[in-house]
Amino acid sequence: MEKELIIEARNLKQYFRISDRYTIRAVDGVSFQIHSGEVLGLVGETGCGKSTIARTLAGIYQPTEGEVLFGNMPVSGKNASKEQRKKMQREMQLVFQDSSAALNPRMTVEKIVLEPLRIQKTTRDRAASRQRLLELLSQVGLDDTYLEKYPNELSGGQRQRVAIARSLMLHPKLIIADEPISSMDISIQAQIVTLFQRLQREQGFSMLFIAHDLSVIRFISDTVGVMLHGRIVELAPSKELFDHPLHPYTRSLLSAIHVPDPIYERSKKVIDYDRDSPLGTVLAERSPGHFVLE
Amino acid sequence: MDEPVLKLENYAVSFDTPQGEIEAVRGVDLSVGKGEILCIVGESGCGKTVMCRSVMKLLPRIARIKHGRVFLNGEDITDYGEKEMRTLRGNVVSMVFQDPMITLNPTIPIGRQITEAILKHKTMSRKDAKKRAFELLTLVGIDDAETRFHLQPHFFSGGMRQRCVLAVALAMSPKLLFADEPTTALDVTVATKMLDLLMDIRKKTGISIVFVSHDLGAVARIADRVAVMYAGKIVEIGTAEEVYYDPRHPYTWGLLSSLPSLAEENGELHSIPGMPPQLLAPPPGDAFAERNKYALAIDYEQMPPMFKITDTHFAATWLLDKRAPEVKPPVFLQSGSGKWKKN
Repeated sequence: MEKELIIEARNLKQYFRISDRYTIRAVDGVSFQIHSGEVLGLVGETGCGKSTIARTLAGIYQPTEGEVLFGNMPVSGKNASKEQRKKMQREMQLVFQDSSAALNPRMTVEKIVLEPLRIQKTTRDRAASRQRLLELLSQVGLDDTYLEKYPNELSGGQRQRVAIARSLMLHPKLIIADEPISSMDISIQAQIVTLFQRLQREQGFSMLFIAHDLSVIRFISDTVGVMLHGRIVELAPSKELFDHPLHPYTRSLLSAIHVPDPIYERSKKVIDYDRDSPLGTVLAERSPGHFVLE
Repeated sequence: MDEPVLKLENYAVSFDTPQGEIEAVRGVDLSVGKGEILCIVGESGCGKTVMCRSVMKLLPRIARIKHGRVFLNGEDITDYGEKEMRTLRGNVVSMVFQDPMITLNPTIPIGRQITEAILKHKTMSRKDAKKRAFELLTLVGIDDAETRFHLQPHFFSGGMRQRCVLAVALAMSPKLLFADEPTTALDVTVATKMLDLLMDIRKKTGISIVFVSHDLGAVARIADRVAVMYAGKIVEIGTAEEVYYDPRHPYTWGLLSSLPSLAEENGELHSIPGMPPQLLAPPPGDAFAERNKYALAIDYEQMPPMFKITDTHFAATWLLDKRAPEVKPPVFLQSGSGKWKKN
């Protein structure tokens, strides 16, 4: 059975013009699809354009070229009607890296998590929304003692849990998580990744999970895309990518993953990748589902 | 054995806040030998940064040394004031922080920031200072120092900025360097290069390094010895081999098992439940007991002493007492070295 297509990027380009002579090509021709219940992981180093993709998908930026289709409808552009846009905003939610910037410091946890309901006006039933609120908090591992707290009274991990609870409020079809664990301690990272995994399995939403750390993305993604200079250089099922990396850049990233084994680590050679070497132009399918830019 | 470069004896640091006393560091015994790289690992708020800054005496006024002594290069600096510390900072002990832009002035060219550090401490001509700055830039792996000397920090990438900060820190050839999460904000490949650079500098200059991190995986490459810190105390300390291949404290087990590279194929990540305790009123017993599934009744009442495992390996957990029931660490931690060699 063919799975429902949730979001699709077609030859997406996002350029930022700095001056007449200088344009940053943040995203330079990226295409991918996410089907229902699927998790796509995007990895790459600072400045490779992964966050720009997240923003373009969410309709925050107008793509320079190419298009994003959510369901069957373009995310941005003049053709999208107001109702369509509202529907999209309901079904697509974002989780950001900096949870303290993402949560309004003057709102309590209760208000923050209920805000999507207030904005979308989906229900007027107070008892039902309160029940949903408590249900969500318990799903993300918080209890009702947090309701009256403000974001600054919470730790980073707890704040991110609140942000996740808020994003789940309207039963979204797609969650875009832009480096949601990058600024956390390793032990808290593990907690949040486990939480995302569990919620995704239980509720079956699709997800675009962005990170700069390959080792974490392996656990959560079905498919992984490796980005460099605004392009996807390799796209493959998670296990395939880790077992048989083909692009030299992917190999270099994999070789840099830290392992807690001092004897191995000390002798480990990190494969160097020359970032200035020319990239290919065509994403070719080497084996089923495994694409490499060449 | 040589005299240690840094020695802490029953060292405790507290903050006096309106809410009461926060015991950030609660009795640490530690020594760092010449040319040694000691890694201090623990979660946010475990006191690792406070400990380093306290040795540098860079903490705000509300902080005080509650008890214990600190020796730097054999000298007791516990009661030193600002004036005495100024001659030590940079000359004997130096520090690198997580965010290079806090150290660097965004408006001043890199080169001048380095020569400034040199000229503050030593009387020499500008020309000689410049020569020394070139040497330092080469030492930290910045080539083409000639042109980069005149560039402001915003021309540099994160990794390069961190190298510049390192050049400033090393300007006076200190004996000891505190590196407080210098690689956390960097990409993995860049971080690895930074670690290699630190090892290279250690080899060339014989400097001792105290490397602070929250990630046990990230420090395996450089650590000679590892100290695991929790709630202001060192709960396990030993050589890298001992701590990674034969960890004894349940907290070390927890830290190791939350590393993604250790989880089994298709498996789930293991995480330590709960959060570190508040140090406003630390629990009387083992502070980790609440999150520890192996906790014994005594853990809630009495602080465990440091049990000696080998001459270099110590751990503070009641599980090592001879009356304690035998507890095996999680299976995936028992495999020891070589597990990852297949990659």
